[in-house]
Amino acid sequence: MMKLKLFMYLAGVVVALAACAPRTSAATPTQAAPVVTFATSPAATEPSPATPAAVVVDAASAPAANSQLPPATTNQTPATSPPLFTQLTTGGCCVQPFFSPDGAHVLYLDRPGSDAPVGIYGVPIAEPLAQPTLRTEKLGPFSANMAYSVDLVNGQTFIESVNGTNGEGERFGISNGGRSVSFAPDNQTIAWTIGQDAGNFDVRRSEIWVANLDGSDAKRIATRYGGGIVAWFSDSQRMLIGGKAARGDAAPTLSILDLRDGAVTDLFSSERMRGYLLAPDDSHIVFFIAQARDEALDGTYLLQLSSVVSGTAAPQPQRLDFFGAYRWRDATHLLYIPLKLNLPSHELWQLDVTTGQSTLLIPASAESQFKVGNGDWVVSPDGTLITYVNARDRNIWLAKLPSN
Amino acid sequence: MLRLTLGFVLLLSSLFAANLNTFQNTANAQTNPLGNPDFGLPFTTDPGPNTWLLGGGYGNSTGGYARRREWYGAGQGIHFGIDFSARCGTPVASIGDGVIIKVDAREHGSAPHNLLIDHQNGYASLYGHLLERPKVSVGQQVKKGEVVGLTGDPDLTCTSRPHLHLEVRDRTLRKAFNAHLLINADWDALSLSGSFGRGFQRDLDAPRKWQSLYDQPDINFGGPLINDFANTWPRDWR
Repeated sequence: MMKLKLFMYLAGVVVALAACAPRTSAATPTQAAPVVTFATSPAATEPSPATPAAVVVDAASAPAANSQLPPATTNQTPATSPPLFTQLTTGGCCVQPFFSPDGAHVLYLDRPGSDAPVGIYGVPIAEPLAQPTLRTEKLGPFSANMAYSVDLVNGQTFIESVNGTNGEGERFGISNGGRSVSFAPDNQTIAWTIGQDAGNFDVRRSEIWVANLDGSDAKRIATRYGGGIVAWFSDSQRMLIGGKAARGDAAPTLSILDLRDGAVTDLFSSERMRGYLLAPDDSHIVFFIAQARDEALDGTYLLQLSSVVSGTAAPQPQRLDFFGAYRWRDATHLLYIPLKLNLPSHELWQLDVTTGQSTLLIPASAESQFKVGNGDWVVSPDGTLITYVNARDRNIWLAKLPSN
Repeated sequence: MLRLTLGFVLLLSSLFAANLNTFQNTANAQTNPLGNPDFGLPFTTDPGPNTWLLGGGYGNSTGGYARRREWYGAGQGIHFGIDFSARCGTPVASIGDGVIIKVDAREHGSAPHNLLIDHQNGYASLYGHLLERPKVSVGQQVKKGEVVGLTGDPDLTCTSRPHLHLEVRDRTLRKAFNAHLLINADWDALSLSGSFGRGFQRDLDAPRKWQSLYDQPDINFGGPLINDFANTWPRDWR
């Protein structure tokens, strides 16, 4: 009887301790990084060469009214290599990861201990689970090449060079009333918006200002209502802007603003447009319309810009056959995670905007580590990797994408 | 005998803890003080661009932080509900069985129309920014999933920011809970839309604090601000 009592007591302690332990044990920095190979079926632990890893969606079935994409063809070619998942951080660290401009490190804001400085820390993608190192105590927002950071000090905006780049110690006070700025890709021009503090969001006035990097020659270049700056074009001479040109307009318009002369070229107008994302080569923009009064408008859209830039035709956006989160992989491939509930993990698809074909890169499975938390996922500069917050353990992970 | 009893207690508590973890799916281990109510989403349709989407989550969101005094001061500076974007007139469903306790109770905010349901399990829910006075009566019993109102727009235009604001409170209505931990839904998937992620305001003295939907503080209405950080990011831009 005593043995039974002792067994029950120990069993209770063991089970209770097990239940109190973290469900996913955090690896220490000295442990080998777990590299998880994508499984093609719930029972498999290794990819089967005989099982096509790619699934093709017929884009012709999409409800597109103005198709600019070629007709879809059946593509049974499997992805050339399976994705690999690699854990980069431990201890539930951290959120909002991003790649260094050279793609060699994954960076994130952190303060790893009470005696450590807050700053941008990084882990080399070649050394997963290495001890994170402080990259800079500047916190951003940063210019695209991370040469400059913008900060707010006692209500004034300052642009500062990041340690060791572009003339250490450069610091410019910007007279814009304590507003954040957006850097042009060439780091020669900055822009900001001065918005109305009150009123309905869809008609709030927003002035768009540009200036030299040091804040000189500041000028208002456009005004929009319920909108503002969307993105810079890579030539640093033009930007995408959104919103209503006049407060009384029926719907906002997506437009190209030429900074050289202030000329505006309108692209597309619709209510409830959101989520603009310009392709790396400026050739396309993707966005979505949700909950428009006209339900037929709702969906994800791709707008080809090359014809606008060449001045040959007014663009018509094409509705895409998915809804969810998206990022550009490169100039012609759009990655997306469809909005599907209660899958064991998230799916990752790739749309080739030149052919209209969608290919499943990462299927959902219980074994897959691709379950994104906080909506945090970013593509590497060379398009080969994704870094993301893994919803299973709240750590930052890498997914190596199948090559195109 | 004492050790046997202790063993059973520990065993049962560990089994309960395991079940809790399963329920919370990917949530951090944050226990619900009143137990798990098995609430559902406040809509009768699946999410999508022509139905509803997750707008602003509960907690220390960057958007909520920017309005910590102006809009959310009564809730200790925290966005004390979940916002679901939806066109005006979208049917709103009760998240659980319960009894209507208040209709158009202006003292609880969320104009122009709101509704409160006591779920008789220690929790109450508030449905805010409704389009019209809900066609239900105080004392009326409702079932989980039953339509109790229509979504509206706090700016009264249906073009500015039409959405449902949903809160889960205790039955005294003085405390609001992180509803992501109480409503059984795939919040990770719902967080994935468009080109943007979900950002939370950072306390730079403790930048890992309150950085996921599942790790957010409960609030007491009328209490002091809990996120008026001395050093924060994103900065307090104008």
